[in-house]
Amino acid sequence: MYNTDDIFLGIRHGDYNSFNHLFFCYYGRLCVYVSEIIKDDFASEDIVQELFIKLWANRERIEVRENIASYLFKSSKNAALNYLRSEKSKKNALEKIPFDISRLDDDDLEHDKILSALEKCINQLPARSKEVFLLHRFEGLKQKEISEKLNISIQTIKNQIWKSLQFLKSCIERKKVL
Amino acid sequence: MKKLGIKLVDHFYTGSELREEPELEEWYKSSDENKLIYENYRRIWLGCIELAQRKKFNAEIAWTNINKKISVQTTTKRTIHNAVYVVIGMAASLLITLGLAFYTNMFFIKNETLQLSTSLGSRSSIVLPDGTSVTLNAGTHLEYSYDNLNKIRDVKFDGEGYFEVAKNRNPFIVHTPNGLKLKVLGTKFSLTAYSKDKTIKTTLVEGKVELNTPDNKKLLLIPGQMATYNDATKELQYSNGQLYQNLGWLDNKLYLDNTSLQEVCTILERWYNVKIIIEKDELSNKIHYTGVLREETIVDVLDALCKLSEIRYQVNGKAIIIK
Repeated sequence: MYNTDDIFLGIRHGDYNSFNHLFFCYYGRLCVYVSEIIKDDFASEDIVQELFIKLWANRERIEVRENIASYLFKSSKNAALNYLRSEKSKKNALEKIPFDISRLDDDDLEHDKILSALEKCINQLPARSKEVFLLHRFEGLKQKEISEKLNISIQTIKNQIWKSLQFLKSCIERKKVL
Repeated sequence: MKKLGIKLVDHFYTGSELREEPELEEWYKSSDENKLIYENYRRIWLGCIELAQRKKFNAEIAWTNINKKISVQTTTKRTIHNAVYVVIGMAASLLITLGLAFYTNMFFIKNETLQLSTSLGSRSSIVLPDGTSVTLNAGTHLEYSYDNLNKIRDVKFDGEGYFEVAKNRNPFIVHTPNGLKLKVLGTKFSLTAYSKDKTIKTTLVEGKVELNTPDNKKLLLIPGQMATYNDATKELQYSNGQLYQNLGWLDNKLYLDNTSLQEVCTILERWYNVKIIIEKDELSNKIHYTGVLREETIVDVLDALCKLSEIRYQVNGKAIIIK
């Protein structure tokens, strides 16, 4: 695994490969994060892409005080809030649900750490439980659909999911992030 | 707990309120510890939903977008520089204009170069600003620049890579460490050109490639053909072999065709970032292998090699000694 702060050093020196790495590492999570604030998937993709383009254009000037993760989350949050402001003045409406700005950045980072750990733990699930769990949680299949697809009873699926949850909980607790 | 657990799964799955599930609620309220357990399960459940949401956003497509925009930005900057030069030039005397033209060439038309490297033991896929995608094998260095004056996409390359060159009327030229040039328009090809190796190999999958040696020998490849350039003898020729052999590394397969132990070790050193020492020097060119290896770890590969020949190995941190 790459250290993302080393990656930023590479970017500063004009290494496009590092830039590519950073992008694939953070694109999805930043989109989800921004989308949570602005409630718009399409616009959030634009915002995050713009953020990365700016990062590359200003790579030599950007100062990262803490680590690159907190830099990325902070700048996406700013960009998202700016977007909301400009949208608001455009429509002059208050229909958007105001985002709880008091939510701390540290919390966001903490949350991101938990998710990364969770992702790792999901990959460690025993093969059979993993299949059921992934179909269920990630493919969004209904329990009935999974039961037909894998030819197992709904009760078995529920048992598998419960087993997976127990596994994930202890796995995450071992990583001491929860 | 199992019965309660299933209830918990149902409760999360249906998104019901806790008070609608009397058994669960009773358990939840019975101790602070249970409350914490419940909270943790809920966070995992929600976390999984959030992880699934990330998959909605297609990073591949987004990356292509970003690439386009970045290359457009670089070109616009250059045009502005040139425009500034024209305006100033018109206002000033011919002499100054000439002076400035010289300056412009020196500092502004110098194009942005992208440098990409993979370290030993790692691989990477990237998209260049022109839309060309390249898969770089371990220990490869690539420098891309666009020569605006001659309208050439210029690549300096040391290592192994698989190129899918984006179609574009501007030629895409790859320079290998020992002066061999590959000129392409839009094609798919693989290139093995490590500066430490004596030979360069290229395999064309699609399109057309023209090879030029430093002493002006030419060779044209058609799809399915392979060429080898020998740096020592300066010989450039078509070579025999199967297409998949040179592309095997893309899906982790190592094709050996009468390959010496020495050559196998050089490849393994790059792929796995290890140092391999062959204790008895005479072994390196005495043992040859033919076949396909598709193994996950270096230990698997070494085990396979041991079965194929009379060698033994010993792992010592990142160093491997072959006996």
